[in-house]
Amino acid sequence: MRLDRGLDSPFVPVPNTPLVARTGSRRTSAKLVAKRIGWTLCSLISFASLVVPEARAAVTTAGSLSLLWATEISRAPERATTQQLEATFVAELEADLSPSCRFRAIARARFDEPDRIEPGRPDELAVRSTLSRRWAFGDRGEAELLEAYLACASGNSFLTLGKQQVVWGQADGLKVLDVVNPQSFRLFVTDELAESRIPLWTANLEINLGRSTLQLLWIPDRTYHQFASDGAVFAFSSPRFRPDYALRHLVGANNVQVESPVRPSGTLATDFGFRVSTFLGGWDLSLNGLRHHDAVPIFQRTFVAAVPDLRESPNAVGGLEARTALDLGVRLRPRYQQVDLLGATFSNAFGEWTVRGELAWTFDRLRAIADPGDPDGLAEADEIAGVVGVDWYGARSTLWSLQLFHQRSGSLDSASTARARIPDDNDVAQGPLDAFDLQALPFQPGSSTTLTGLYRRTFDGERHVLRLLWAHDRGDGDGWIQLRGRWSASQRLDLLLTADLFYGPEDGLFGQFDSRDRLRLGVSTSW
Amino acid sequence: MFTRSRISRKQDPSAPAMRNPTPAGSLGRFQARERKVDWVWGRQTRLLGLSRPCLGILGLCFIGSLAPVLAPASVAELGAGSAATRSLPTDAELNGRAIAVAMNQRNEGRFKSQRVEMTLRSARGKSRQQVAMIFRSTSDDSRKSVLFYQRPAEVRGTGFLTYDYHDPTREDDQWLYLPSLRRTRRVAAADRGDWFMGTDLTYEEIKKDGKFELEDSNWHRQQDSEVDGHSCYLVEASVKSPQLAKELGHYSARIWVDRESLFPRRIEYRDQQGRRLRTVHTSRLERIDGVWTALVIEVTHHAGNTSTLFEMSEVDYQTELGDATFSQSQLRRGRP
Repeated sequence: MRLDRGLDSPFVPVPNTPLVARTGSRRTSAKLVAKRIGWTLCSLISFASLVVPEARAAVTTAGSLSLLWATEISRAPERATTQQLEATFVAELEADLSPSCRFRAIARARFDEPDRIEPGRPDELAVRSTLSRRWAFGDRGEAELLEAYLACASGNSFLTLGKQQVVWGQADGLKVLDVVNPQSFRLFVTDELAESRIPLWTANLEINLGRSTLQLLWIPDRTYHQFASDGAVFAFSSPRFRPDYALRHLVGANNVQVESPVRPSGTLATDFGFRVSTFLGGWDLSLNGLRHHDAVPIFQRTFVAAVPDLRESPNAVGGLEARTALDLGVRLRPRYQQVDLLGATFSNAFGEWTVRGELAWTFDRLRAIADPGDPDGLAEADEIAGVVGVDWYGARSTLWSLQLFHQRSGSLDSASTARARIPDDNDVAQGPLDAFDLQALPFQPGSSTTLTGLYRRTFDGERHVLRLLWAHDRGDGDGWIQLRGRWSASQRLDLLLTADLFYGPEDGLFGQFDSRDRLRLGVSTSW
Repeated sequence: MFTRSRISRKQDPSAPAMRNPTPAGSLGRFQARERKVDWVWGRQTRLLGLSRPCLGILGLCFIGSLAPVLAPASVAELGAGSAATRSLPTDAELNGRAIAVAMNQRNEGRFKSQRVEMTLRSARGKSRQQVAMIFRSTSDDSRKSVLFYQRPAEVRGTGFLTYDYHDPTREDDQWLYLPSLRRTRRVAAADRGDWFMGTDLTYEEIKKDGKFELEDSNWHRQQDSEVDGHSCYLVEASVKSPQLAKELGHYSARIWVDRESLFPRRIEYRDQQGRRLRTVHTSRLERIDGVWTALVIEVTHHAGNTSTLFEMSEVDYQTELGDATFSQSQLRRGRP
């Protein structure tokens, strides 16, 4: 075991469907106020991190500046293009307001010149709440208040109020119970998980009950997963995750309408959660419960017989100039469903080994099915997901780790959960109704199994770290390998080298990025 | 693979847990005090049918009056496990194990918090500094400690929590919190011979804080000598098995134990061929709130040509630390 500054597994299976959002933007006074508050906070934190002495007792500051260059790895050298040339500045501030109260804030500014990771200005209206949005400087720059919370202790209770990350579960990178905070997939899963997790405005109360701890969460922040937009390096293209892609191919691009999702509103639409954790006979155990909104939307599908219906819709995506031969359209209406989750975790150490795992049961989750007769293309079923992991610490300065993840939906018709594929011209040629065969419609599979491996070795008193990650989806036969090395040139200067390799069929979670293999070089300084 | 010997990794089960800070003195005086504790709370007194407080007061009065006479007998009992009726050894007759037991029973205070500044020097001569706060609490069944890194920025927020149980059949528990992951990770206690956070001390040494697992080694007393002008017992600890040696990272250790404080002033770890692997030198030792405390420790790693300097400050034995300080929740939140 050793310090690795985040060199742990960031791989995450994406269980559902990313959002394709297109909305217009309209500023309100509330947004302007939020923007000003955010800017002020970011500026103060940045200023303090640069000018306040580090060792001042009541106020602690820190900062880092990093430069990153990433290129696609291609067999044809002429195709090797720059994916990312990014400068990132992070400022941290922590102030002891009283012996029992502390304020902590982190702000980040980023500038990416090729603008291929998030082309244009990120449109966040559909996925982020007003107070959680980023602020753009043109197309290439952005700033964000990552965390800002007040942490106060009183007796056996501890209240953390503000923008924060809450991490549940025992798995590395695999999201079974780590679902409290949504995630940004701008770099798919190649980014470090703590950096891609989107902090939420949360009230987090922890009560110490002797051997156990009770945690209560209230999350009024309605912010969800953020996926790379069309045209971005890591934009999803698999029909399983992009129902609009498959349907556009099937009925023509102009006959697919994707409406803007409406983020839930109202007090009842906020998320609540609890966790009871205890330490019993050497075992770390926890019981978790969460009523929350899935961070990825489901798409209600409606077949529309006449194209003019689509033409009249104000939210239609794309032009509707040409009438297709099919005279058939599809309307996709994304919405965030509220689900209840109950889960548990465990971990223990046995000599050189540690064993850990987690299990989550989600009740009545809607999933896309491939039944053309179904009115909305969705079916409700319970879902169970679990992960078991073992770590071996037997070799000095080395960690070996293996994890097995499995997810299964109950009571879904097996015929409607056959494996998806990208429709071809033959599907269209068969005619309007025949075209919608079971194999052509997008859906999520009823089960999936993922195996992950991790090797990590440190050198020279943890100055240098080497990490090899591997994630393999057994169902699709696709996967991802990441080799990462960090070399500490001095106390304040680190060099980073990362290679990401994807393999497998193009409709798989990892395989869809088979042509996006990348090499990253970075340099980072901190103070 | 899960059936490692647990007993070998623990402290001497016969050693009672130290609940209250008591001023440390010479080995003889210290062991006399231990003898009193055994007598007052031992099985024999309970057989008299009197309440514990009454027996305690009576016992203390009786033993107190005999303390000067019984002191050498206590040493013999601790060292060889013999009956109190055995002939009394002199200082010269103390064996290695007796000194190790005394060292382990050295008063360390019920609670302790301190700031540690570490200067790590690499083989190429480059140095870097780290600052951490360490909190420790000793109870009847365990010694709990937690460490929070404060500087530099790259390790800030990192926490390490450990439960070191007195029960020899119970394996220690350890957790590591990495702020970059925002997650607490359970780590194997068998990692005790590995370097702690890149320093030249091992997890075992950080956890034990100048004490040792008695059952790991055979203890032999050597010719007394001096360190920095201080009179010391010299003890050689030979690790009992190659498996343990591999786990600990050394085959033997020569320990210079300060006669007055019972603190190891110098430790030399050696390999199978007797070559020096590391030297731990306590160059500044002071008595704070009645507890002997190392304030400067230099660790030289001869094989790796690296070194680490530990400088302790803000040492506090008075502030009470609750159980919540040593919880996983606190580990996530950072220093209390």
